[in-house]
Amino acid sequence: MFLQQLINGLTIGSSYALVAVGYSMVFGVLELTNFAHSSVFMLGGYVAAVALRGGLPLWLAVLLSIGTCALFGMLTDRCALMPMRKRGASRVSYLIATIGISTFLQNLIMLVFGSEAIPFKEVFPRTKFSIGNATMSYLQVFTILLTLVLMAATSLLVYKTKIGASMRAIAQNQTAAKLMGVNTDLVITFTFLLGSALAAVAGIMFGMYYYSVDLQMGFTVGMKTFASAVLGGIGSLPGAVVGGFTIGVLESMFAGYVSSGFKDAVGFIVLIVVLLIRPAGLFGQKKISKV
Amino acid sequence: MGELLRIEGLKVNYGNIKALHGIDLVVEEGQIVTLIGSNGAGKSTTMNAISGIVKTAEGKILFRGQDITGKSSDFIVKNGIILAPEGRQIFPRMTVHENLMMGALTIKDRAQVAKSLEEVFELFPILKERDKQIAGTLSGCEQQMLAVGRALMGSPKLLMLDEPSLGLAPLIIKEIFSLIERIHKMGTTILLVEQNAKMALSISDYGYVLETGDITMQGKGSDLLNDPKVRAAYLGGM
Ligand SMILES: Nc1ncnc2c1ncn2[C@@H]1O[C@H](COP(=O)(O)OP(=O)(O)OP(=O)(O)O)[C@@H](O)[C@H]1O
Ligand SMILES: [Mg+2]
Repeated sequence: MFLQQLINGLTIGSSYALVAVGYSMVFGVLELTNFAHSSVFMLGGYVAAVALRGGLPLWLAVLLSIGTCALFGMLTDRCALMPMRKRGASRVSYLIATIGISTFLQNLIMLVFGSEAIPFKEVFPRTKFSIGNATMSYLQVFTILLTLVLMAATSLLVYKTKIGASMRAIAQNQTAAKLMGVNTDLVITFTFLLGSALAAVAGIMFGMYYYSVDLQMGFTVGMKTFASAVLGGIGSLPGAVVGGFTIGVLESMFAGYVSSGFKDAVGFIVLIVVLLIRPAGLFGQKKISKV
Repeated sequence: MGELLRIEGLKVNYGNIKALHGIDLVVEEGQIVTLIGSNGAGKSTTMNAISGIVKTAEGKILFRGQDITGKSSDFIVKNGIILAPEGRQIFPRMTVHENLMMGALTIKDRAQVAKSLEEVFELFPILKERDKQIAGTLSGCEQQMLAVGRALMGSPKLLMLDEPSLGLAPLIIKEIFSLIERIHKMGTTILLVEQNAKMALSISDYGYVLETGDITMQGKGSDLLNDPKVRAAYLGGM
């Protein structure tokens, strides 16, 4: 059973990791928890589910989903947060703005797609093979591998390119980044775009794995992925990935060994424990500064 | 040698606080120009306004004849005005090398970046030794050198240094000043803000005295050094 729960946990943890990375990146550049992020994840799942149901090929459904979410993430920053930055808004008003955007998006999804769960068309072979006494489907293998590839690509972007260096510079010292010639608005908008695109992929994976999307997925996954980001050390990219997989596995173990009814509480518990014991998280950087 | 920077009637406000009341200032190409003044006079504000970090309320900033008032900081950096800000402001969790490369962010030409890096390492050999070290763990003096080196990586046409000697030991301050002179001899125009007025004026072609938002005196560096009022107010009556 352990191996089976581990496999299931890593699969669902993949979605969590992809969403958590978005939380962490936005927090990195703005010190802002983007509460709209989980709704973007849900949007990604919905767009793909509806596109597939409408008969579009998988690649097009995926593209449409990623495009919609990326655009939404971009607009979140350009239309709501950037004007607030120009006016030097307070932290709290940013938070409230993202909560507002989240509510708006949830209601928009309900209005456009209805309040019933939408089945996610089976597009991937569910053929299973066995490893020891556990089984694994090709969908699971694909999900985990794709996540690792996406995370590697994101890391390359963040640690090896100019725009990635700009993101890290903004996270460490926004004024200094400006003095190096970083176009901070552009980089921040790009961060939203990238995080939202990854959330779309996570939404699609989630829909595929559970055969459907519904209006609850945003909230539950939002909470768990936020817990993942905090567990890893919010602002840290590897932290978000490790945090996402960890929460996925813990939750799956809990469901297997204790009770599947309360598995959604695992994220909450982890969140509280981390905040009590080690608020900086596993990979949290203690700020090094000398006067 | 033409005029590189011209400021006309520059006013800056922070909310209700009027930090600059309309100052005029000119930097000729190839000069070292110093801005002295006591704490809170508006020296950093002047530099930040030139860099586009703080908004100008009124007035004009011209760089090589082009109006750059109200332009974004990235535009200004790309045009060759680079500020090494007060208090270093390095990227603490990046390595020394990454910090230097951030300084060259706007430079497309790789050969030029390599050349600048060599020059910076020649000026500050310690940075070469510490290339892989996390910048936040450098000593204060090393951080200051990094801040100046990072600014040089952007091949500035006008280098602005805001209190480069702040918090350093007297012996090291001397070294910083001789480095500033070397950077100047390599062909960079410099606008300098210093508490250490005596040393600053002695290496400067021209100086301005800023008092609570107004320029009250200006003149050749050597003239200001010998001016009784300047001596009394900023040179400890020497
Ligand atoms: N961000 C800000 N918000 C409000 N007031 C500010 C801000 N920055 C500077 N000031 C005020 O503007 C005035 C000029 O400050 P500035 O930092 O330019 O002085 P300075 O000459 O650089 O002083 P120092 O020698 O201490 O560095 C001061 O009265 C300061 O309190
Ligand atoms: Mg100052």
